[in-house]
Amino acid sequence: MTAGFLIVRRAGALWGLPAAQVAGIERVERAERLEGAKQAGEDSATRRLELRLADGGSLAVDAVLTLAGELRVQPVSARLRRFLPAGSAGLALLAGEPVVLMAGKDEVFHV
Amino acid sequence: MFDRHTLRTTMPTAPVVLALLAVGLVIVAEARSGSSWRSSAALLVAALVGAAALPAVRRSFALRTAKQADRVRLVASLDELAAADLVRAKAIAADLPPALSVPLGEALAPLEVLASRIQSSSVEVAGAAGAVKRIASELAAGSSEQSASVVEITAAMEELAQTATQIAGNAEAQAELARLGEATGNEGAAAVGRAVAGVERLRERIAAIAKRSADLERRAEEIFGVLALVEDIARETHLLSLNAAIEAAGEAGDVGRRFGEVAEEVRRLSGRSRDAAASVRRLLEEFSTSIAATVEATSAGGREAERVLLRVTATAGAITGLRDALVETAAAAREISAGTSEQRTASLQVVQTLREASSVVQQIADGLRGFSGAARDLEEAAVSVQLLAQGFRLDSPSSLRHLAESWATELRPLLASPDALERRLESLLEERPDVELVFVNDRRRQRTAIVGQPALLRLVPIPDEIRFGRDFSDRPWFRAAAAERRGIVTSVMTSILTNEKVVTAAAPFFEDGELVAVLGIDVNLERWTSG
Repeated sequence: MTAGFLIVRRAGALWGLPAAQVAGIERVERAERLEGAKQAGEDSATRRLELRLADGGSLAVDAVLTLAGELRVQPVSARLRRFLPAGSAGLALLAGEPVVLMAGKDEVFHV
Repeated sequence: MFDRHTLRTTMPTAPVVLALLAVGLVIVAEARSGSSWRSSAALLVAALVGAAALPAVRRSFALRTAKQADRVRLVASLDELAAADLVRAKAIAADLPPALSVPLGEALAPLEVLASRIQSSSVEVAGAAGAVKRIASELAAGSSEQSASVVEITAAMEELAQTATQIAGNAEAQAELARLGEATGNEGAAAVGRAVAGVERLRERIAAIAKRSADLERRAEEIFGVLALVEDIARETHLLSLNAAIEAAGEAGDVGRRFGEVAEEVRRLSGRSRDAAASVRRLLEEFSTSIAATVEATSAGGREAERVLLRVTATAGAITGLRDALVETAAAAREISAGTSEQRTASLQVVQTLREASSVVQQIADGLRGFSGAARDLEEAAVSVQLLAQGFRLDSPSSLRHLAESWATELRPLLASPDALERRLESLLEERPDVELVFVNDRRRQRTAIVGQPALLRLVPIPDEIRFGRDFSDRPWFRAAAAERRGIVTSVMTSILTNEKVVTAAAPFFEDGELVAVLGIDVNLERWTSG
């Protein structure tokens, strides 16, 4: 069991980052042009969340769900680990959804 | 002075001359015998006186005889006159002395003329009466037919009047129905007008509802905008709480703990805000969905109302057209009703007039029937007079007795030859087209020579039992001719050939005072009188 994971959604999956690695959360606007049909109700500029990391970097995520205090980390087998990015600490369940716990941000970029 | 008759009666006759010669011879004989010549002379004187007186005696006797014969002839002539046989009366009177024949002839002449005129006039009167009867019968028949025709026409007109009455009644009912239809059409048009107005008002209300729904939709959009703001605030608050939690996680001690609790509380509040915003969004989305459905429904309702309005408007036009047609129909029905009523009235008037005319025609027909009856009576009276006039035998074509007597005289030598007799009858028949049948019943030979008009015999041929062995002595014409011993004319009978009225003129044949045959001539009464 570990504590202090910031649960975020990125590329359709839930990730858990150690809270100690996150300095803050910001909402930023980036101009994104969607080729093809324009989604109803969406502006051409998309507002996204960006994590300010403790090492000075940033990580864009789709949504920040919660700060999970305690998560039961489920160890994964070797067969399943090959599908997980390197640096993942394991899987946890949050509200019935699997969360990939990461030890560091670099592995998250490979998602 | 001395006519042939006187001379014949006064000249001495042969017996007187012989007597004188005989006396003279006696005297001579006595003289020669020496007898007294005085007695002989006396005898001679007596003979001479007797001879001289004999013519006178003879004349006196002749005169007496002649007067007796004249009386007989006179009586015979008068008898014939009494029998109305003027021909024989004249023939007998011709042998009378002039002293008798002349006055008798003078008396017979006007009677003959009168009788001849009566006979011819009676024939003419009978012919005229027959013509009048025929005309009266034709008029009566025609009038009866006319009366029957008028009755038929009256009946037909009554049926027509009845039909016209029914038609008038139907037309009146149709007019009433048309009037009701017109009123119904007006009501329908008014109802359609009200419906159109109602649909208009409905369309207006739908438009108002659509407008208000659109307003609601705009308000919902505004609320969605505010909700989005609230959600942003909740998200930002959530981020803020996460940042605070992250910061708190990095702080140690009570400050960090309290800061973490505050962060946690803020995060719960932001979560509740987000949940509330989500609930509001769900409600608002449901409300917006309802609004959209309402808008869609009102739009559909508006379009339907528009279509209904179009249909109602079209229906109103159709009903208006129908009402106008009903108005015209009602007007036409009223005109038809009025026309048929007039026709009914006219038909009834015609019927009344025809009834009056029928009554008049019936009266005319009755009058003509009465006139026809009077004409029949007149004809019968004329025939009676005609037959009465035929009681005279005159040397005239109008006298049937003379016809029978003259034909009998002509046919007498042919009695012994039936074939020649019939040939002569045929030739006589050709001269008298008014004669249907002529026959001679020979009692001795028990045979009847009978000839008829060829046109009639084609219809009813004479059977052989008529010619041979038939006894006609019981027939009226036979009995009358035998009894009168002269030509007769029977009363009117019915012809066996034509079933028309005939009279039979008959004349007897006598030999040595014995009746040997009777001639019969059937004369058609109508052809005789019209001929």
